[in-house]
Amino acid sequence: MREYKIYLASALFICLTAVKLCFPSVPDRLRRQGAELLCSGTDYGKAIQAIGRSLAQGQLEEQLVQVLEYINPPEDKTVPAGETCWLPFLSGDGAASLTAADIPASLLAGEDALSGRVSLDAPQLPFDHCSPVEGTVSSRFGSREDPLDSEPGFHYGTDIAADSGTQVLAFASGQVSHAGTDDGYGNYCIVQHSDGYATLYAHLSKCIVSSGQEVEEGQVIGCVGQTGRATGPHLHFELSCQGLYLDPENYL
Amino acid sequence: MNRERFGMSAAAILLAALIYFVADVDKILALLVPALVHELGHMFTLRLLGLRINSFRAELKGLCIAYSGYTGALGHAVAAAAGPLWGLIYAMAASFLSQRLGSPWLELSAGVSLLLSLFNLLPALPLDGGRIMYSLSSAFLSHSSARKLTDLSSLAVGLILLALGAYLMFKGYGLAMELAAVWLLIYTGTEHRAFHPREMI
Repeated sequence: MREYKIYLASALFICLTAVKLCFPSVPDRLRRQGAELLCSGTDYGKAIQAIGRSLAQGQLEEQLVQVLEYINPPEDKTVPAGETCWLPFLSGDGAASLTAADIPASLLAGEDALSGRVSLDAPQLPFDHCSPVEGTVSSRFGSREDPLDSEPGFHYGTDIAADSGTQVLAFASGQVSHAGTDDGYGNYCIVQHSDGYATLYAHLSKCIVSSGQEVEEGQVIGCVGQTGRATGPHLHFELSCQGLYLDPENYL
Repeated sequence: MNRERFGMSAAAILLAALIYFVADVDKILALLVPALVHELGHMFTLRLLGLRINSFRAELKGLCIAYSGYTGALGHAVAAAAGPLWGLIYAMAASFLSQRLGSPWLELSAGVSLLLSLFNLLPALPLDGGRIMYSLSSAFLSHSSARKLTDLSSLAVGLILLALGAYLMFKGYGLAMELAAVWLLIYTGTEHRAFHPREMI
């Protein structure tokens, strides 16, 4: 290899690594803008992962059909605006085919932020529940400036600050539907409860439950951490009903 | 452009730097590992066929292997097919392994490898599929006829991808497919002027 290329490559590597370490928000922002440009919100990563996973399960065909159906939904299905199958949000088993009629009327009334994904109503929950962690609310549900890149955004859950390692409890009894790792959420898990409700627990230092496991209200499911996009140790807690986000602070 | 035995073009260095800066190491590896498996597939098969590898370079258009030596049309086709074949084997292996180890990275690399292999099997130059088509058809057609056939196929595939990419773009899924189609058409177009029969990506 020609000498000047070695110098070029080394210089670039050293400079870019320095920038990545000292100003992590710069590459983060570029990545997000690039991803927005290239993918327009679709999480190709999760889609490709799903395809990769389906190989071992012998479900490649079904997975590809799901991809095609998602791009071009058949007449009788509607995908809710803004929902995609491949974001680790509370979209259940992925094949979201809700229409407005499926969502309880009391949840649709009231202020509607961001194309109908959010409700500021606080309906009575049809099950016992408890606070998922002991701490103080550091960031509330709703519009806010993104803490990592200072851009306007929407916070779909509540952040509860607590020391690293503090126990995180299951909000209510149910079944763990997802447990894994994500760039943004870090270590996270999702628990499905009765009547279409679900809760998400993110930025965990570790998650001690696995997908498919049944949990009781108050059962320890993990510990507070700051994995993923987090500025400090806290629990990011989301509550939703059939894909519609509610303000968890109403129930803490 | 002077071809060295093993190296990277300056443009490729800049592109790699951009990707390194912007993307996660995780995601970069999920792309790099399947690409390497693919290239190794080519290289081992070339050696197996008794052919000589002249250079292995990272260019802006992709990883390129230049080789020389004598083998029949089938040999060239097999060498071209080896890349995607190894890629598919890797995809299956990584998928099964990820089930046992629960590794999302393996799942991702399996999916990437599958898509990379399938994309490479499209009958368009400079992709492996195009080379397979050229090699096999040159067995019973003249080289120029084989070339014309493959060129036609390349153009058709490029245009179909362009249309598909535009469709996805308007449906709101972003530019990714469209860019792949544009890359392919540009590459096919430039390849037309300087066709290296003994080179594959």
